[in-house]
Amino acid sequence: MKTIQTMYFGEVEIDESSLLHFEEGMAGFADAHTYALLPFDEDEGGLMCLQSDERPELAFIVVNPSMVLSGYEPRLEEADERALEIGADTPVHLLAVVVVKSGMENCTANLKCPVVVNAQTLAAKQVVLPGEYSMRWPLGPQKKGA
Amino acid sequence: MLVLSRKAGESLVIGDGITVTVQSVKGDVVRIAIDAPRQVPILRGELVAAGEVNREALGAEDSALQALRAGGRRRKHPGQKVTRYMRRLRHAHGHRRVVYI
Repeated sequence: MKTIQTMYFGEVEIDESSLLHFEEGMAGFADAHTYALLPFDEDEGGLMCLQSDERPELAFIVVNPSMVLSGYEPRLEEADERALEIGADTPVHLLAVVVVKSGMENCTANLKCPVVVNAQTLAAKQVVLPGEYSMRWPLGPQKKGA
Repeated sequence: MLVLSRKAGESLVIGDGITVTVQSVKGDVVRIAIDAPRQVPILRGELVAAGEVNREALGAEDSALQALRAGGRRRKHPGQKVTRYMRRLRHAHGHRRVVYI
């Protein structure tokens, strides 16, 4: 176990084997390679925090994108599947980075560049999807289509 | 800005040691090969934009975050419905190439 300083939860004890490994870091933050995924609520599908274990100020609010857009099951680029060693039956977690503003209607999720996690190895990467998805998809009421 | 037309198989050389070759053009997709020294970072434009969104995402105000969490709890029921739907979908398509969980 390891104690880390977090942005939203104070000091937290984490199991180092549960850390996500970003070989390339998050977009714009290439220097931080390991993050803990900390849920805000017990509620499945609620907000989570992607917290750097070394830099407390590096804490992204993330959400399961299928909670934001039902039917969100994007195709990944082959290069990204290779980088994360995602094969035919590899379980994959997707996380969308949320920009939190005051007022639900002003909050958005980045559905174009989700964080993809190989749930077996915990290798993670923020990818660019080939499809037509919004980088600023509003969290308000659900809309049809992507 | 320099604008050039290139055909498949043709290339451009930028500065010292960067070669950009158009491999193929199919419909609206252009396949590009880039030969550059290892220390030259090559990023897709969207990833640079994603970096800007990420930077913005770090500035979450606490009050806004609390409000969003409260909003999420109110919508708890529909959210669970979506999760159940996703599970059903996975069962129905057990052979899928990638399993989303």
